[in-house]
Amino acid sequence: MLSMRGDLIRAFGTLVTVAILSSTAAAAQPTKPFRIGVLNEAWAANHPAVEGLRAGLRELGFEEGRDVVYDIRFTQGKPEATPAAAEALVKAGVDLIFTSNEAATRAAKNATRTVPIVFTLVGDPVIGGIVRTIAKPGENLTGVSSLTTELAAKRLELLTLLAPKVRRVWAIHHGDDPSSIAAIWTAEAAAKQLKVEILSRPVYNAEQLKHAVKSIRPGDALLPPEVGTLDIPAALLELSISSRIPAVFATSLYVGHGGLVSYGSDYYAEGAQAARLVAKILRGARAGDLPVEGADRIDLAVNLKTATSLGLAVPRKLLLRADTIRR
Amino acid sequence: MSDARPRGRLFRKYVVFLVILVGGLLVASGLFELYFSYQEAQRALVRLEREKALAAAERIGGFIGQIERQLRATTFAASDVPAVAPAGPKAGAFRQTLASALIEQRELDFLRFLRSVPAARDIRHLDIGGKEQLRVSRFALDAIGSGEDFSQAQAFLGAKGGKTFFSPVYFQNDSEPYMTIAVPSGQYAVEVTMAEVSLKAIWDVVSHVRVGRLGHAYVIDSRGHLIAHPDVSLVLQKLDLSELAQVAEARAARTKPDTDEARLMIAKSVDGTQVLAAHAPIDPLGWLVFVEQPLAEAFAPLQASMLRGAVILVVGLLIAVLASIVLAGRMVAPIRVLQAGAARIGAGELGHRIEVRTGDELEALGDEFNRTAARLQESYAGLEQKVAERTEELTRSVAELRALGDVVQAVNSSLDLQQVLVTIVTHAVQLSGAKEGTIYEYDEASGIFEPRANVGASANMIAALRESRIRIGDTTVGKCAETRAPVQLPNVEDGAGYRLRDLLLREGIRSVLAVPLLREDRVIGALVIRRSEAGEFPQPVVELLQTLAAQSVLAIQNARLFREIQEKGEQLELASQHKSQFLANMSHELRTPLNAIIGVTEMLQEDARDFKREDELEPLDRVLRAARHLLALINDILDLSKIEAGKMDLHLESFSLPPLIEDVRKTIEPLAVKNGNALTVSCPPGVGSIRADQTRVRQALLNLVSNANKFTERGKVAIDVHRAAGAGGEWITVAVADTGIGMTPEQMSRLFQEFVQADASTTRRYGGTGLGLAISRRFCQMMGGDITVESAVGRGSTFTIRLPAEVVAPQPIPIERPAPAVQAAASAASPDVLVVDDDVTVRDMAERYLTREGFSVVTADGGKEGLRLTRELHPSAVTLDVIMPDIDGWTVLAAIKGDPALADIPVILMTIMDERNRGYSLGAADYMVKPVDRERLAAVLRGIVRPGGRSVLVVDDDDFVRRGIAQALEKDGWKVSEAENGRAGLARLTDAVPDAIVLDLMMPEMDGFEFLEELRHRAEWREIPVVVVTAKDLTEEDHRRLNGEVEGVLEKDAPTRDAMLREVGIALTRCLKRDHARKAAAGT
Repeated sequence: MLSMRGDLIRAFGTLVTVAILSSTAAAAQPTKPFRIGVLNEAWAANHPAVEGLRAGLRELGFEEGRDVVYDIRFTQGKPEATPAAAEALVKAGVDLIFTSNEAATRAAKNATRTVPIVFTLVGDPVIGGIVRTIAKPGENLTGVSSLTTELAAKRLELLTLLAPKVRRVWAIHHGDDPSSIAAIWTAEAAAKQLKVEILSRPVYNAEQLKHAVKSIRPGDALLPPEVGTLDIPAALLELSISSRIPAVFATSLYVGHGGLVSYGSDYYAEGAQAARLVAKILRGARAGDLPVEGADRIDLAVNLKTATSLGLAVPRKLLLRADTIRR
Repeated sequence: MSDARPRGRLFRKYVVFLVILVGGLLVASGLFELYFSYQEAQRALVRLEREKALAAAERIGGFIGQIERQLRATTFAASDVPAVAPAGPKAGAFRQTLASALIEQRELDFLRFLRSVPAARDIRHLDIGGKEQLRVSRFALDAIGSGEDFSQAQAFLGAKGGKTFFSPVYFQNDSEPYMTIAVPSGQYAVEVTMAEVSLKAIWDVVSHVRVGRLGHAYVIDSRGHLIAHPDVSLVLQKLDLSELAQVAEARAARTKPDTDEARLMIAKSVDGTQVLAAHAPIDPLGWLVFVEQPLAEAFAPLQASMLRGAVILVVGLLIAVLASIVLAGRMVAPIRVLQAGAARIGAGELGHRIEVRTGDELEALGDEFNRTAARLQESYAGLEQKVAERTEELTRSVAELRALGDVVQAVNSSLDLQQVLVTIVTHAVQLSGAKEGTIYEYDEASGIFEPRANVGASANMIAALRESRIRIGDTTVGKCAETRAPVQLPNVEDGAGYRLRDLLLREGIRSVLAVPLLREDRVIGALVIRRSEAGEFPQPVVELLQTLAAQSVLAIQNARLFREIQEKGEQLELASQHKSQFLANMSHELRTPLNAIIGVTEMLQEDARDFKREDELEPLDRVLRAARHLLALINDILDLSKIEAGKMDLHLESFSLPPLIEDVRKTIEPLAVKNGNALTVSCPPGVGSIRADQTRVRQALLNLVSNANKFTERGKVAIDVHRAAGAGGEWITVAVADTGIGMTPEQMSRLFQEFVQADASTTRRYGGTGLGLAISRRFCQMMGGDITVESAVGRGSTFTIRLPAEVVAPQPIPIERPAPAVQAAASAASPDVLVVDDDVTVRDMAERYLTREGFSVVTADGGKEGLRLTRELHPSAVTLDVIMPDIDGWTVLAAIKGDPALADIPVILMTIMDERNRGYSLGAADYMVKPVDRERLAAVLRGIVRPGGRSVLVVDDDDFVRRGIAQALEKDGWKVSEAENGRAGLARLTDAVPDAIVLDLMMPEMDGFEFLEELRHRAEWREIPVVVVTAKDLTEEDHRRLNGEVEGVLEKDAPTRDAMLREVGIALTRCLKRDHARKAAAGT
């Protein structure tokens, strides 16, 4: 009898609480779609990372047109146009900026301290000065790291696996690019174990690049940088094909164009992965509180035709590992 | 009207009772309804949450289980060394081949594992000793036989026991959750295969669980640590949630498997909100999935039903209230009719009859009330009439009192006699119900009653009254004055032989009442009222008129007194004016002949000296001394009489004390030497400055010090200066102690009386007027201080001046600074000025002068110091000497102007190098009081005129004085021209411009002031320095007219510098005004 009375009192107490609380819980349905500004230096609007983002957000329930709209700015490989494009996005009043590559991210970061930025295709966001720490990026940025620094050793390993006779590996890179330099340091640390020598050659302009390329001899190999500044990877790809120099790239894009092998994050997958961060931010999370994620999907691509033309045998275990094999 | 009796209480009781009855039932049923629907909703919600939790737990468990199975699969393909092996020498090689084949096999297995488990980061095989045999990794280099030691690793130890080992969750880069899973492998299950797996997939599972809009899921590991939550930052904080109530209960429930059906929990969430929580275990791992939804959201649907219940309740209550009102109304209506009827009867409405037709006891009660009312009505009828009469009487008295009040107020508040009298008559007429009334004032000189105020009388009547010239004993007015009592004429028609009868009858007057206005039995006038009805005036009216008459007497008396006071005041003012005029003229008239005496005697003395007529020298010296004594005496008497007349003005200014003391000491020094006295001064450097009348302070101090030396021979005189805090601020005391003859107490008591020295013999022996001390004391008292004395015969005396450090002007307008612009600037901003000069006197003078002008002054003794202080203090202006020992003014100026932070500070260069550039002075450079000390004048002129220029114009109407000055100056090498008045002076100026002008102020035709004004209007004359020489005692007004340019300069021996400093002041003011205007324009 007594305990039942206690229960009743407690139940009514809760009822009152519920009545008070539920009156404050107002359900506000979003009426306007979020505007996502996209910024990269691609040649067209359908950059794989952007496509990945769209697919990812679709999967997370953001329907294009109803929940999100995209304002895509690509600067067609003109780095000098990127800051202006970033400013324009901020001025256009987008709710979030999605960037692909380090330069675009830096431009967006310089353009705003308030609009949240989600980046992709950044080789090493800490070394590159994009964020303070991986776990707590701070300010208005977060994103997906392409793990360039972490993967450099593995790339060198794959290169030596394919071309065991190689002793000198050229790491030609832009001298002002911190991500590439950090990656080369990782590679140098692994080089001794793999019995190769890393020849690190910083260049600052096309002239120097041309000059550096001239010193590469048959029998050497290439470790092109991930960052496309001065178009170094493309130049090295050209050299690789024309002079039959084996090279390991950071992205499968170059393997599709005749590069020997690549090991690195998949652009599309990175976009889709970033979509999760975007969704969290659109739902109210602070960008700076979300840890930077490492790319989930690391792809190994190998071009058998190139291997054959270089006279290299592809070991079975490499084939077993490969995600993309081009014949 | 209002009645204290409670109304409608019965009705309220009925209504409340009925409402409680019906409403209570409604509320109770509503609350029960709510309670049960709440219970049901809660159960449904927790079922839903639990299902979600179970689903999530299953997915997570499945994810981990899948990885574990894949990991175990890698261990089947490659087993350990086969049981059968060839023996012999080939055994080693075979083993080698076999081992490498095995490793290759395992490597392929591992690669497959990495392919099928994307979450895996790397996979290792450890041998029985915990040494790494093989590693395949996505990030690190692969390794074969690295031999890395894992024998102490938890994973190795855990899996070696034969069971799968799940490590606690840990974070890579502090951001990504990982877990190590290890399984036993090999034929004897003594080796271990372990993999590092990313748990981000779990995060995705968790963040996909949604309950409502705000509900979410999270996972804790077996230790109670949060490992997955939609808010990643909470996970990264590695929160320990084992303290949360729902977590604690869930963990406890796991240990007792029988209580599987977990109770619904309402608990606090991580962020402190009230949530509805359910959970499910993830079995192999010992983890728990929680699903929580904020109470507010969970029960939102319940709100609608609560709202419905509430609406029904309110409607029900309203109906209950309405029904109760109607019902109660029915019951109470006849009682209310009774109550209202009784109330009306009670309120005096005795004609009212109560209508209750209920046919019961209430009707009988009503009838009873009606009968009572009827009887009461009869008895009240008589009373009412009496009350009405009384009320009327009272109203009249009140009106009378009010009128009287008005009259008294008018008498007390107005000096306008006419207005007061009209007020009195008006009230008299009104209150007595008369047609008209008049107040007469009795003129004792002519013996006639003059009508002063009329009310209600026609113009004819007033004119007739004015002409009737009533005397005492004549008409009612005259009679009442004669008898000193009210007199009335009840019927004018009966008054045969009455002088004004025809006039009154013509105006329709039938009766008259006159009351005398008496003051101590003297007739002042009369108050008369006239009615158009015949008949005796009732006694109250007569008494009222007497009262009003008394007030009229007061009013007339007040007016007369006021007139007298006004006349007296005017006479006094005139007398005072005459006295000041007399004083001013006295000084002129007394000093002028003395002037001649002293001047002629001095000349004679010089002649006697030149011609060596020694026998004449001594008598002339006596004449001179006598004349000077007389002059001092006149000055003293003038001072004293001015003090007496209250005409002594104080010129308050701030000045530094030490220079003043030093000046006094120097002045007295010869006397001290003569009497063989040691004169010592003790003046602490921190004594600072005082705001007082410098001249008067000096005069008082000089008097004390010279007295001390006079009455002391071969002794000591000590001047002691102190500054101390006292009542009302800081005080300055100057004590003058001597070791002279001293005084008896009796002598001391007469000391400060005018014309009295300690005794008569003193006068003969020591000389003096006996006025000095009295005057000095008066001066000190005017400045708020005093002079006191301590003395004993033969032991010397100590006189002490005590003055407030900040003398406050005794008169409302003690002194007005001549240039208002300076004052405005000073009060507006109180700017600070840096004075840079190596000469200490210039610094002191600048400080004194600028402080007096309201600036706050900082000084620097050289260029370097000046520059440092400029940077440090950023003063409003800088005055700069040009020639200084360390770095010169030009360099300092360049440094200031070259520094952007300092460039805006105005700098005024002060130089005595080029006298021609002192162009700003519009007025005189100096003034002196006659008799002129000729040497002094010459020195002044030498100082203010540039070298080489030696022409001077002397303007004075007194031929003798003019000649005297001219002679003295000619002797000093000046080229002198003369003029007998201002106009003649201007004429001389057009002939030739002199280097200086000596100017008298009081002259016929054009006086000194007019002359100065003319001088200033002409640019080419403006710069001529003027020394004013006057016998006139300069008033405040005179100072103003001299434009403040002549004040107090004679006190120092550097008139040019002082003049220049004044220019600095003017220039500063200009700068500051400009600065001010600029700032104002910039619009702060």
